[in-house]
Amino acid sequence: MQGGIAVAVAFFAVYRSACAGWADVLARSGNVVAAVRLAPGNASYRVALSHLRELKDSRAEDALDHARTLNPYDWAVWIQSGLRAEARGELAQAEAFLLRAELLSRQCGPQPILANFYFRTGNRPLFWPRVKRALACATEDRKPLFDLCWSFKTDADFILREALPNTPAAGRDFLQYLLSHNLLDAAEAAGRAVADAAEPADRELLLRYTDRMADAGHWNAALEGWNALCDRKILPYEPLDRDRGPWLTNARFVAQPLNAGFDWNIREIGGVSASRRRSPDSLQIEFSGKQPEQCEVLRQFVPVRPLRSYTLQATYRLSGIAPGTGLNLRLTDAERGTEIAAVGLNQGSTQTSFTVPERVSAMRLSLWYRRMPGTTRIAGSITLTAVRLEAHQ
Amino acid sequence: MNAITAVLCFGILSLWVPGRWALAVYQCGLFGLSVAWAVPFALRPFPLRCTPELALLAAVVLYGCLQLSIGLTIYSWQTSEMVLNWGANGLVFFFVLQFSAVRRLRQRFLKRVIYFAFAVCVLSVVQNFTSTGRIFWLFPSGYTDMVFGPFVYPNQFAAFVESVLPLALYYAVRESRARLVYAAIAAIMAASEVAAASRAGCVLVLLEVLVIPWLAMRRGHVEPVPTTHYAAFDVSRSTR
Repeated sequence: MQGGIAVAVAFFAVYRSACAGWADVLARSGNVVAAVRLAPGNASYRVALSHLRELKDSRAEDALDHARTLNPYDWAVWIQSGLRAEARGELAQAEAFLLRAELLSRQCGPQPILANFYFRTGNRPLFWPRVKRALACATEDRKPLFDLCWSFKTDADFILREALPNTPAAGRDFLQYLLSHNLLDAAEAAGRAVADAAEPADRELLLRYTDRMADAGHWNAALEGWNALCDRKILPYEPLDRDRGPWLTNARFVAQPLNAGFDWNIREIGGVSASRRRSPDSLQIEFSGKQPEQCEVLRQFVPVRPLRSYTLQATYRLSGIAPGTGLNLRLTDAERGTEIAAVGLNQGSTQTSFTVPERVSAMRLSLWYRRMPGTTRIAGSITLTAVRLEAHQ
Repeated sequence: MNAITAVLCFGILSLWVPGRWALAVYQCGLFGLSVAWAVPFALRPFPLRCTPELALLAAVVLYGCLQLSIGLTIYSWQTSEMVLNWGANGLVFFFVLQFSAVRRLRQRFLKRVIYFAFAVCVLSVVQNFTSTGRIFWLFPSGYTDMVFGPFVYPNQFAAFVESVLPLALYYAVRESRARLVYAAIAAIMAASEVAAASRAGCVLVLLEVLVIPWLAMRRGHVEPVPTTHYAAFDVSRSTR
């Protein structure tokens, strides 16, 4: 008796397993109809069957109905049903299906789909909370969601308020999105939000933001981004202050220049090489004699107040370079490039005073080389040990 | 015993196959064997060996059947698939339990499992470093590295090694004539676990390397009966 039952059960198990295996082979080869016939309980074959039918074909809807009955907790089936209903123009039904999918899923899948649905149907009141949820749970590419937001409203403040969740990653992605689309005015608001809660993970993004803002002449925004990194010790520098100073970053070359933001930027020029030295801290720049006759070797942006007077001092050592052969420090208007002051590097130290012209809020401090008439191109090195900028009272 | 070993090996070697057919072959092989076994049993019943572990596995299968029969399942297709899975695993355990009663068969089965696992370990490590993600150097896995033999997921490979390593360690301690061989097999298995970079796996293997020889030596001449059961249980579990 027991043996008979065992044989019957084993035969049934062989049949059931073989059917499942063969149905899978059929489904993978595209014969979904036969797969459904062989494994009628498998909901995924029903969904695949619905994909084969035309949009208005009632058999597609039947297949999805069947799939939902077989596996009522599979949110993906409800999503499929919702999208098909939407395509048929049955918006209320589509929304009901999609909301059901959202209820069933504990993951992020249905949220962006619902946000897209409300976008397509133009339902703004429901779109913003939904896109906020989608942005909160999304872990990968948020760009398509930002595209939706920006298509609905080109107002970064509004998007930050209505759509951005309190997750730092979302704010970071939004800033990245705006920068990559060259929306620099809008990026100011997003940059401020990221800067307010800056953490080490924001370092590269905020440096990029600072550079982009500086290039566009948005000096206040650039300074905010830079100071956020300094305030939170993400960068080893003191925050810059237009009124009280410091005005220069890394003035004593205590750290390797970042080539970004308000730090020193060492230009890549053939025939010129730079390296930071320790004990004492300094920056050594070597000229091979094959450099261009005129070039900017080093530069730094300096935030200043218009109409205020300052004194620039530099301490350095020349080696193999004769005085008066073309090395000088130049201060120019960072936006327009007009020269404000210049001083040649001839002795061991140099000093110059100047007044910042009207409407200039940032200067460009550069180490320049310009071959002097009657001399050959310099070959040797200059070791900068300190550059100081002091404001007059 | 030979048929069970063959099906078990096929089950492990076909783990990577994404299609359901490979699982169907493994399951049909086991259920077919159970028919071949049940027919003589029906004609002339003979005594069976039972253990609490077997009852536990049977309970899982019976619970799934109960769910299906009274409609206590959300997705009956998936439940029936699980019943088949656990039924097949239970059958492996059942068969090994039955033929393990004969010491000679038991020893032969265990040694075959060790040699098979050793071959899989060697193949897996060589494949991992030379096949750029292709299973048996032939079939693309969808990944470019960390594919160990038929195991697409390194942690599953680690679980496989963890389940067989105790046998190799046990024989390394107990078999004085082939101690070096089994010690080398155990060492290579442990090394392959390190290559799989499974953190929990490495910890478990280390524990096994410390504890199993100590237990084996402490027990003196104890027969490896419990080890047989657990090994069969683990191997059948790791195939799914």
